[in-house]
This record gives sequence, C-alpha cells and structure tokens, in this order.
Amino acid sequence: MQLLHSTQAHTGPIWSITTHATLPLIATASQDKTSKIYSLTSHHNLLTILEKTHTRSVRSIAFKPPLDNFDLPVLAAGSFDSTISIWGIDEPEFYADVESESDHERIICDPNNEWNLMALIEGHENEVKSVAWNHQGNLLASCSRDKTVWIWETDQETLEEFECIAVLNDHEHDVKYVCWHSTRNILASCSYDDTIRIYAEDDDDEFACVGVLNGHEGTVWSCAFENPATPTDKIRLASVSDDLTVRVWVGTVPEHSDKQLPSSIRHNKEMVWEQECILPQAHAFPIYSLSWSATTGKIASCGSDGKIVVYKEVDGTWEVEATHEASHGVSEVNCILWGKLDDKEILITGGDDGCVNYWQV
Amino acid sequence: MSALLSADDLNDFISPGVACIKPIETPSKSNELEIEIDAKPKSVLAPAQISLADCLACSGCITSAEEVLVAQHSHKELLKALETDKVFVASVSHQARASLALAYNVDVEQLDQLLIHLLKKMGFRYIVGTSLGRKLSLVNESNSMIQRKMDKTEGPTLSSICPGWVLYAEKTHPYIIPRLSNVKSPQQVTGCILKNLTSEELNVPRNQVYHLTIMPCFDKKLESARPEVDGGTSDVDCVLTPREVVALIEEMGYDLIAKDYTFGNTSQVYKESAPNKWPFVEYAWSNDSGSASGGYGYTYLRLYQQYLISKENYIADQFEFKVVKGRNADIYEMRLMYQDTQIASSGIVNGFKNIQNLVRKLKPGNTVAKPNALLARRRGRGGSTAKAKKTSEEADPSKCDYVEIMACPSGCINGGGQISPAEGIVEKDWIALGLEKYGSIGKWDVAEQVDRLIEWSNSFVEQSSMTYKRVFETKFSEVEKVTDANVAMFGAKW
Repeated sequence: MQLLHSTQAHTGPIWSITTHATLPLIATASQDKTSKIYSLTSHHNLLTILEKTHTRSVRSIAFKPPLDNFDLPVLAAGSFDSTISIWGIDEPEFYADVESESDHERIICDPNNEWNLMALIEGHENEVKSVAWNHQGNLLASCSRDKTVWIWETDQETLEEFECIAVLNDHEHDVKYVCWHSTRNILASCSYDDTIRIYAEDDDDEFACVGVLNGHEGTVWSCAFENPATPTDKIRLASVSDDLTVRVWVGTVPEHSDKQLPSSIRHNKEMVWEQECILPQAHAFPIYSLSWSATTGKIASCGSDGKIVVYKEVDGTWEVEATHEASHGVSEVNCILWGKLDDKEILITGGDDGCVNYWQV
Repeated sequence: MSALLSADDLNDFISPGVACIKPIETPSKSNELEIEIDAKPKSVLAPAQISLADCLACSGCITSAEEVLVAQHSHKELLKALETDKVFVASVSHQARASLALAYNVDVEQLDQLLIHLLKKMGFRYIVGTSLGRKLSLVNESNSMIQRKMDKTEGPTLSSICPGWVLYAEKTHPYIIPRLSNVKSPQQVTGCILKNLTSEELNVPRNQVYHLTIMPCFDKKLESARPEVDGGTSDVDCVLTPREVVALIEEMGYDLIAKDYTFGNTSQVYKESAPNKWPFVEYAWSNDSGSASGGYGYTYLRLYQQYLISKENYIADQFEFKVVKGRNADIYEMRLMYQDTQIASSGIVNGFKNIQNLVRKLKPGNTVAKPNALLARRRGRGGSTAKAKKTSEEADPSKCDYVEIMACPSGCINGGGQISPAEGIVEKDWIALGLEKYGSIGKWDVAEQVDRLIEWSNSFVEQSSMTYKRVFETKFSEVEKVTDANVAMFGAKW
C-alpha cells in the first residue's frame, strides 16, 4: 500500500468522508464544525468550505446519488448539534448549454461555484451520528445518540421538503451508523447496544425492523452492504466493532408476500440473517470504519490502532491481503472509503490528524 | 489523540439515569429497621413500568421523576387505598371499555355491566362512563374554536386532550404552547363533577372521595397529577389502564365474567351505578361521532355548521363534509364546505412521526437562507425524471383551523395501556377489532344537546364553590429540559 497524496483538510479530527457517485468530488466532515469539498483529481483542489451552520462537530456526511449524469450535486451533513444540513450549488452560468458529461464535470467542479444551505433538518433530540441516502436519492436516513433512526423523504429533484416518514426506536442505545443497500430500500443501523438492525418496508409501505443481528461483543461502529456485480437472492452485510472483529452476515431477501391473503394469516416479512464468518483478526484496537468495494469485492477496514487492513475473499474464505501501520501517524483512523482517482480504484482515509490520505492498493 | 494515549473504551452514551438530576429512589435497607405496625408480609414492589414503546415513540417525555409518579398509580396502590375508609368512585373511558370487551370477548354493554358489578364488589359506590366529561370537553373545545373563528385568530389551534402530546410539546417544542387549547380533558372534567356530586350527595368532604379512572393510556396518570388552578384537591386519584385492570383481576383471583351474574337492563344498570344527580344519566356511557379518540376535529366542524345555520342563516343543505387523505392513515383533513367553498377545517394527526412533521412546519422562522431561487431553478430543469407534484388535495393539518393530535398511531383506541393482541393476531387486525367494539357503543349526538349541556354545566359551576376556569380549563408551561451537555462532555469520544 502506498500513500499517493495527503491533504491537511482540517485542524481537528475528520469524522467522515464521502465521494460523489459520478463526479470527481470528495467531502469531509470535521470536529471543527465545518465540511470541505475537494476535487477528487490529482490536483486535489479545495472547492468550498461549508461553514457557519453547525454549532458542534459535523459527524457524518453523504453525497446524494445523482438522478442522472446532469444532476446537480447535493450533500447531507449530520452534526452533534442535532441537526442535519443539506447543501447544493446554484446552477452555474451557461449551464443550460452543457451538452457533454465532461462539460458538466468541469463546470460543477469549478471552485467559483457557490454552495448554499438548502435545508436544515431538525428532529433528533441530540447528537446526529450518521446520515445516509438511499440509492434513489429520495430517502435520507439519520441516526442519533437519542437511540432512534429516522427516515426522511424528499423530492429527489427539488429537495423541497424533508418529511419524516419513520422513527425507528428498536435500538436500546446510541445508534452509531446507518447505511442503505445499493439497489434496494433496505436499511441497516448499528449501535452501542452491540447489535445491527435491518429495516424494510412492510405491506403498508411503512419501514419496520425486519432483522436483528446479534454477535458482536462491543459497539458496532459501522457496516456496509455488499454491492456485487451479479446480484443474488442473498444479501451480505459486513460490520466492524469495538470487539476487534470484522464480521460478514448473510440474509435472505424477503419474499413479496401475497397481498390477497388476509393479513392475519400472512406471514410477516422478517428476514433471516445469520453470521457467515468472522474475518481474520488484524486490528489491535477498536475498528471504526469499513468499505466494501463494488469493483473488486475487497473489504478495507481501519480504526483506533492506525492500521488499514484490506481483506480479499478467495473461494469463500477471507484472507488479509494487505495492511498498513501508522496510516495517519500516531492518530486514529476514523473513516475509510474505496474511491476512484483517474479511473483507478484507490483507498481514502480520514484521521484524527485532520488529514485525508489517498492510497494506492 | 492517539489511540495509544487515549483511554480506550470511552463512549458518549449517557443513560437517562446519569443525566437526570432526580434519580429514581429505591427503597434502602434501612427500611428493615422501621417498626411495622401491621405484620403483613412485605410485598415486593414491582409497579407497572413504563417503557417508551408503551406510551410514546419518543424518549423525551418520561423522566425518572415521572416514572416514580406513574408507579404511584398502580393497581397495588389502589388495593391499598381500598382498605381505607374513603368513598370510592370510578369512571371508565370508551376506548378502555372497547379494549376490555375485545379481550374478554363480550359485547361492550355486557362488559360495562360486568365491570360495574366487579367494581361494586370491590367497594366502589358510583361508577360512570366518561361521556358527560367528554361531551362537555367537546362543546367547550368547539365553542372556543368557533369564537376563534369569529375573532379570525390565525390557526391552527392544537388540541391538548392527549397528555403524551402535551408533555412532548412542553418539553421539546415550547414555541407550540401558545397554540394549545386550554380545554380540560374528559378524564379531568368527569372527575371534577363526579367528586363534587358524590361529596354533596353523601355529605362527605371532597377529599374523602377517591376517584379511579380506567383509561387507554399511561400518560393519563401524568395528566391527573397536573396542578389545578386553585391548588385544591385533585379530581383523579388513580388511573389504571385496561392492561393493569387485567393484571388486577388476575392477581386478585376475580372473575370479570362472573358466573353468578345475570345481566340486567343496561340503562337501568347505568342509572343505578351513577350518583342520583348525574345529568343525562341514560347517556352517561354514550359515544360520539368522529375519530375513535373522541371526535374533537369532527365535532368542531359539526358545531360550527350548526352555529352558522342557527345564527348566520346559512342554508342547511348547502353544507358538505369532505375528507382529504394524507400520506398515511394517521393523517387526514376534514373540511367543512359551504356552497363548494371551504369555510372551516380540522386536521387529525396521530403518532409521533406525523406530529414531528406538523411541529416542524409550525416552528416560527423555520426557513432557510435563499432556498427559493435555488429550488425554482432546480424545479425549472424539470425533465423526464420529475415525479408528479403534490396536489393541493393532500392533507396539510398545519393549514387547518384546528388539529386533533394524539401521540399513539391510530389514536386513543390504540393507546399504550390497551390490551395487546391475542396470540396469533396481527396488531393491525387487533386495532380494527377494537375500533369495531368502539363503534358499537351507542351515540348521543352532542350537536343536538349543546344548549342543554351548557345550561347544566353553568348551573353546576354556580352551585359548586369552584370557578368555571377550575372546572373546565387547564394551562401549560414550558418544562425545562435537563441539558446534559456537561454530562455529555466527560468521557465523550465522539
């Protein structure tokens, strides 16, 4: 593993990073109450600072999946001040003339673009820990120390209103992280109560808990769904924890229940989830973050011990492919992400030292 | 900053107990040194505990101090009280009757008789339905709304009948308090009347009368503890939910379905179980139109219509009631139309999720810097992916005159204290069955009785030593939130 570049983005710790699905953009969330957006190119230039909005740490950040190749980028940021901010850019001048995707990219990634606060979502009682968009970009999930997971619905084009469509209070403690499946509206959340919970829509289109994943013996800090090249009827989820393990879970897709049947005899849609395996142990301290590559199927993890670990699945068995020590000096590594730089897959990490590091694997 | 230097395993989750300045008091061992006069075996106190799921899908409402308070309203406390020489009276809500009738698989009227029979056996002197209190609440609520309509007060006015919602508003959204209606709930109004009439009839001091209510919701216990404007004796001494009634019956080995009981004429039973001066006694257990939470939204429109017909010469057959659906079954609007024009509206909002969206919409200054230009441009781009815009035909309670708000999804029929579904029955179907039972309770149209009800309530207030405010009004105030910022600071990792 080789360090390609390091950006000193913040003076305080970086808690979260996100990359845009189609545009070369990367955003950071920091304890210094700001977020920054950089170009994800070899220039690594700073495009904007999102500031003067949150009164405490920005804990989590997520780009909305674009509607199409010409959709303007939108970012959600969840803060310890209990609010979630939504950011977007004004349509740049001459935008109507844009015809090619490269034009679009050039114009959108111009540092002169003005990023504006489009909405400030209130509702959580205290610290927001994580935010995540579903694949269609019309649902935003958030979770908090108040033990709840909320789902907000918006018009994915105008982002006009964020209406709360679910408050899920299945967890017993602080909820650390939420993530959506990449093609289905299935949501996972993980918590200080050591469990992971899975949510899906029931027959009335209301989100409800359909699975509980028990096994971790410590706070579950993060989780990620597999996004395989060829989808199967099995869904896999990987999770990382204070208990120093990375676990892979497998669940069966809920069948569409027959709406003709009276609901009293219709079986509920609970998914069956089981632990598939524990990945080889490579971390010495709590693991905070992981990323599951859609391209190679590799999993990368990082955490308190400053290590980056890459795991590879060979014939159903996971092995450690690479490790890197002291990835952010003596600092903890809070987040990790597979991303693309000049069409090559790289790893991106954010640490307590305020740096974003780019790695060739 | 480094993991190697920082203490590991620190976490920022603070349990409510740590953050709360009023921890739950647990009996200490020193109790053993106390001299006990009666040598009964010590009962291990295991009060019905309230969890968030029971009452509100919200964590901000039940503090430790409130949990202690709620524990005082247990069936054990009731049994203890029954050993004293007080005069015992009870009132039973419609939803609780529906729940018990469903659980014991009897008609509501049969349930009423059986319950009255059981309560009398336990030592209760008078037992009434909460209908009188509810009808007076409905009339007061509707009349104050009509007054607001005349004054052109800007809406919406929010109902305060649900104590769970009220507590949430007081603690979390104090800006909403001025919008809350100050009309007292059926439980409190019934309690006041029942205590006064009992005390007068039996010639005992008011504070010698002990009033039990059977309510669908645990939060009614908190409502009963709200201080009265005159600081006098409370109107309700113990609130039990149907669930707790079942626990009481089972624990005491009672038979609700008493084998030796022969059903009498229901109206006769109602009459005999009420105080002699109970007004409209044949309707003491009757139901009302509208939602299964009491029909506040509907009744306002109905009474407003009637007001316009009788006082403003509106033509009766030119009115129309229109229901506009919201995004889920727990949110809808009722509109009163006159000659195809909307002249009044009520919203119904049930459940925490829908309450959330409403309070966010009503928050003053909840607008964001320059969203409009941006939105307009985004919208202007339109394109094939644009989904159909919301029509004005989607319910928006924030724009109504009045909103009936209940903290529980499906409203009071699904209150936190109602009996859970029987084995193998889906919750949704269970609620539907409960609604069926509720709907089977005979109605007494409040709209046709407004004048009689007002006349009676005025004479009641006149004859009592109380003010109108004391009997029919309540008030709300902001509850200081226990800010745990400092608590959260220590040991916080992230």
